[in-house]
Formats: sequence, C-alpha cells, structure tokens
Amino acid sequence: MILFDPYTPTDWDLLDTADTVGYILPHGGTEFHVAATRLTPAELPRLERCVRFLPALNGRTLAAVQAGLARWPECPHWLFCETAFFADLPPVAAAYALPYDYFTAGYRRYGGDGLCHSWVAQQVRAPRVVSIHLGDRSSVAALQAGHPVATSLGFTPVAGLPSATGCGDLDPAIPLLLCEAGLEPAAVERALAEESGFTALLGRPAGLADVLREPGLARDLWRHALLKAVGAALATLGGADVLVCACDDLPALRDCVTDLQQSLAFVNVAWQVLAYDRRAVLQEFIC
Amino acid sequence: MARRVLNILVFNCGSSSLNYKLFTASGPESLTVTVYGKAHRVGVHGTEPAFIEHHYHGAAQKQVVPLPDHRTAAALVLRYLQDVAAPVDAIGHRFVHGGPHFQRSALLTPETLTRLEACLPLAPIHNPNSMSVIHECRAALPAVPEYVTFDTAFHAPLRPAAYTYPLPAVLRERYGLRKYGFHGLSYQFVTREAARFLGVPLADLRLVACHLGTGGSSVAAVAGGCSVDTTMGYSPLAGLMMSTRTGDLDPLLPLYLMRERGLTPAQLEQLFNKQSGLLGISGLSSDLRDLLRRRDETGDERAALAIALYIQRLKQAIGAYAVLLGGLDALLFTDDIGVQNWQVRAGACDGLAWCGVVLDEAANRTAPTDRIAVLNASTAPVRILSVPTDEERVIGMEGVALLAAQENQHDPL
Repeated sequence: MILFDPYTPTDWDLLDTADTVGYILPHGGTEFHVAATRLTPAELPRLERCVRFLPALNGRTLAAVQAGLARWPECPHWLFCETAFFADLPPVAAAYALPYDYFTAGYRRYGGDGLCHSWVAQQVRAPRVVSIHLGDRSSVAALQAGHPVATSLGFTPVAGLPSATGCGDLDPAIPLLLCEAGLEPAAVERALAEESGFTALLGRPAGLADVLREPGLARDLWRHALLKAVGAALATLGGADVLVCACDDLPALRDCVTDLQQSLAFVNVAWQVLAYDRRAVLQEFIC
Repeated sequence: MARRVLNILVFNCGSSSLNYKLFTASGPESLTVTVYGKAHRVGVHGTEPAFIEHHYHGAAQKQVVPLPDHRTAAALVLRYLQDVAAPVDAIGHRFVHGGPHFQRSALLTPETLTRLEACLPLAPIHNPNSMSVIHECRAALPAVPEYVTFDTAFHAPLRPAAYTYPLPAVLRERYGLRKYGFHGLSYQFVTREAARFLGVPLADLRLVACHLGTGGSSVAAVAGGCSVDTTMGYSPLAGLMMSTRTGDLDPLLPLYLMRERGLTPAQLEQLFNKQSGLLGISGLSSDLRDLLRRRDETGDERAALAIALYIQRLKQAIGAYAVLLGGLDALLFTDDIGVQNWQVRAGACDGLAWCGVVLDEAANRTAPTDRIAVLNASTAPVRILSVPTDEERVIGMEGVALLAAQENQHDPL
C-alpha cells in the first residue's frame, strides 16, 4: 500500500505502480464517521466539504486523492479518517462551554488520532482503558467498554498535548490578543499549529524523541502536560483497569513510559505497552 | 519589640462592587474586624439603585446613593470611617493582575506606583478600579501608608514547565505570554487555614484547591505551600468552565470563528467572557443553583448538560493535579460555590477514589458554610475540606507583614 500522510507528504512522482493507495484524513468533521472509506470520485464532494475543518492538512489530502484517483484509476483507494472513532463522543465530552448554538453548529470536539485509539480498543478489552498514544503527535483517550468518552484533542488536533509543531492547550485569550495586536489570523493559526510545540521549545525541527533525549524545559514541559492529560482521563473514567501506552517508536520512548509508570505508581492500575505500527493497523482496516 | 496595634483598612474591588474591612491587628495572625461594608452596583446602570452598607459595633447602616465609579464608593467609605472616628494606620488594596511587575505584595512608593500603572492593561476591567481607589486614598489621607497585594503573586513560584506556553519564542517574548494564574489571595488563605486545621505543616502537604466563585473559578495544585500549577492562564478566561466564561477551548477555535463567522477579536472576547459558560450552554442562567433547580424540576436537558460539563471539567482538573502531584493529601473547596454547593462537590468527587478522594455523603450535604468542614469518609486517605475564604483578611495580614518588615529595615536590631 502506498500511504499518503499530509503531515509528512511524500513525492509520488517517483512511484510508478501501486496495488492499493491509502490516504490519511486528519479531520473528517461531520462528513466521515467510519475509519476506512473506499474512495471513488463520487466521494470527492464529501471530502471537499471536510477541508474547512483543517484547511492546510485536509487540503493536502484532498489534492492527493484527486491526483491519486487520476493516476491509478484501476487500483483500490482508501481514505483513513482520524476523527471517525470519536463520532459518538457523548455531549459532555464533545461540547465546549460556548453558547449552545455553537455546539449544534458543529463547533465541538471531534477528537483525532482515532486510528490508533480504535486499534488500542481492540487490542485491550477492559471496561475502563486510558489509551495514551506517544509520538510526535500524541494524544490521550478515555475508553469505556471500548468506546471513547473523552479525548485530549479538540475541535482540531492542535489541542491537548504539545506536539512536534502544535502548541496544545492554550489560554483562548492568547489568539485573540495576538490578532488584536495586529497579526493576521492566518499567521496566528500557522504559528500555533506549525511553528509551536517541540520545535518552538528546542528552536529547531524536533520530535518527541528529540525532546526526551536532552534534559531541559522541553522535556519538563512535556512530562508536566502528559501527567495532567493522563490524570484528566483517569478522572473521566472514575479510575482505569488498564493504562495503555501505544508508542510509535518504542525503543526511543521506553524511558518516557517508565517515567510515566513510576509517576503513577500511587494509582493501582495495570499497564500495557504496545508498539504501534500504523501501516499494519491500516491494512487490517481494509481486510 | 513592643507590640503595636495597627488599624488596617482593606479595599477589595470587584467588577461592580467594593468590599472593605477595617482590621485591628496586634500581630500578623491576630486580626479582628472592627468595621466592614460593601458598595453594591458600582457603575451599574440598572433599574435598581446603587447602595452602600456599613457594619460597625453590631449596627448596620445602608445608604442608597449614586455610585458612578469605585472612586466615589471609596470616598464614601473614608468619610464614614471619619464620621465614626475609626482610626486608619494603613490601607491595603487588591490588584487582580501583577503580571511580570510584582511577585509579591508591596508598599506603595513612587516607584511601585509606576510599576502599577504598567499593570493596568493586564486586567482592564479590574486593575483600573483598584487604581482609582488608591488615588482617592492618596488624596484623602496622604499621610497614611498604602500597599498593594496581587492575585497573581501566589503563583510566582510556578516553574517554567508549568507557566511556559510552547509557542514560538518571538511571540512569547514580544507579548509576554505565559501562565500567571489568579485567585492567589484566596489560595494563600485556604491552604494556610487547611494546614493549621489539619495540624500538618504546609511544607508537608500536597493540596488541590478549588476556588469556585459565582464569577470566576479555578483549581490550583499546591505542594509545600508553593503553587505547582493552576487552571487559569495568562488571563482569567482559561481553565474551568465558569458562570459566563468558556474556560479552555481549542487554541484554533477563536481563529475559525473569526474566519467562518466574521467575528472580530473584540466580539469573541465578549462572547467567551460574557455569553458562554453555564449561561451559554443552558441559555437560562449563569447561576448554578437556578440550573440545578431547573434540571431537577423539569428535567431541562440543557441545564443538565451545563451542570454535567461544569462538573466534568472540574473533576478532570482535580484528577490532572492529583497525578501531577504524585498523589494528594487534601482536597479543598472554597468560595461561594465551593463552600455552599454540595451537589458540585459531590459530582466533582464522584469517581475519584483511585486517587484517594472519597466523600462522606451526609457530611457533604450538611456541611456548615461559616467554618472549615471535614467532608471525606473517615477511612479515605485524602482529607476533603470546605474552607470559607477571606481575601480581605489575607490582604490585612500582608499589610502587617509589610509594615513590620519596613520597621525592621529602619531600626535594625
């Protein structure tokens, strides 16, 4: 399978043949509620309607789908939606404390990182699971009987924990203040989503492994944010039966997991540490 | 050193009120209220008239009088104290936001006054009111020393991991973006009171304190008396859902609302601060008591959702801080909602047994509101206390300490 991920777009010009083409859709908004959708040109309008939920990234996926369908008309194309798993998030988890009309108009939490968390839900069958996905874009989901009841991600995947380039949770007065100071909203959005997080803290392009490698503010801040996110998920579930760490790069993250386990030693809970192989998981979705 | 009795007048400005208390202090911990009162509906253009009340020697006096601003109200307080011949040796003020300019309380000098001016834009609703009261006091009682206290000062010990927003350094530096935290005077008071009540030094306690007010609410994690984290941020908009404030939102959501709804930053500020929270979700009221009644009597779904959201966000903050502290020794509830609303406490503590928080349901329901009450089940490892706060008393205590320090400076032993 050739996989298109808008976070790390690859140059397809070098590729000639394909058996299956997969595309990651970071934000399915109100349009896509299943993890894997077989794509035909008929799906393009739906995909276009999704772009507004995450214009830069979803826009890249849309362009890739358009190009891919034209280039390999014969082979199957699959769209993998990161928010689908959270489509039925209960209102108490989905709503922001905005006027109710905003909630019904779709200004709510959509979650994200659902391909990983739904895989965790399948792997670990326990009544209450805190699913912690550790990587350059991490997130925490609270699962009750396999269904998400809370997520650290929000209306967009920039909310929650800081990521490679995303700021994570922020005082909502700050984007307003920056715009009032004369910055263009688009520039503020770019700063918060693409120039913040680990990259801003280390002053160079950086992922979680870079943060964990060196002692300092970035590592302390990450640890601080992660502990809070796990604590919030535990509170939502009323305690957990299993805490799961699904790691993109298990060897690089081993110390982070160990530290987390030690910090939570006061909580009586079982642990499961999994290596998350996205490509293999996506294959399972389409089998 | 001879113990001198000090008469300290404390002003506490709300957005549309002015509280005052006159304390007689014979030491930093022994303050007695001699006169107190409150100006109501200051600067409010409503159908009901503004008034000011004074309480002195068990007698109450109410004066219906136009109160166009806080300075007018302060002038009336000073005149009243003069009329009843109550001496004033020092005057303390509360500033909501000291920003980077003040890490602790300070005596008013030309130098601190300049720094205070720099704080005004940080809390544009509250700080200028406090400043106008200072000006009135300087005009009326120029010989009386004054000092200022800050809601942000308690959070000065926050470590960079807690106060840094992982934004581009150029933005952080140019706009002074960091977490400050608020409700510090209240946290200072209730954490000390709790330690004293528990008979454990504050230095040995890991506390989660919930300041739940009818306006703003926040939670703080406190270890060894030092703030470790708090839910409010650069501004008091962040963190918990509040009466009319959103609390945390997705950081990009304000920008989407500008783009998709054509709203300006000023309109969003109004929306997030005044039309959201309990009021926004319920469409009924910003008062939790109204919503609880509505939910229980009519099953109103939006009232129920507003209450559930408020409690969920509070519970998540407590859980987050319990893990951050590596376990906690006591959970504190304070301010109007925290002390008076047993349903909120019951909801927030429900499902926190994993970190040792278990309520005694009967004790919680019947807790007195005028003094510290123990609310935890007797077998639970975490003490749960309801602690009425007294911000004016903290301001008074700060004044005693500041004046004593100044005296020591002038007359070294």
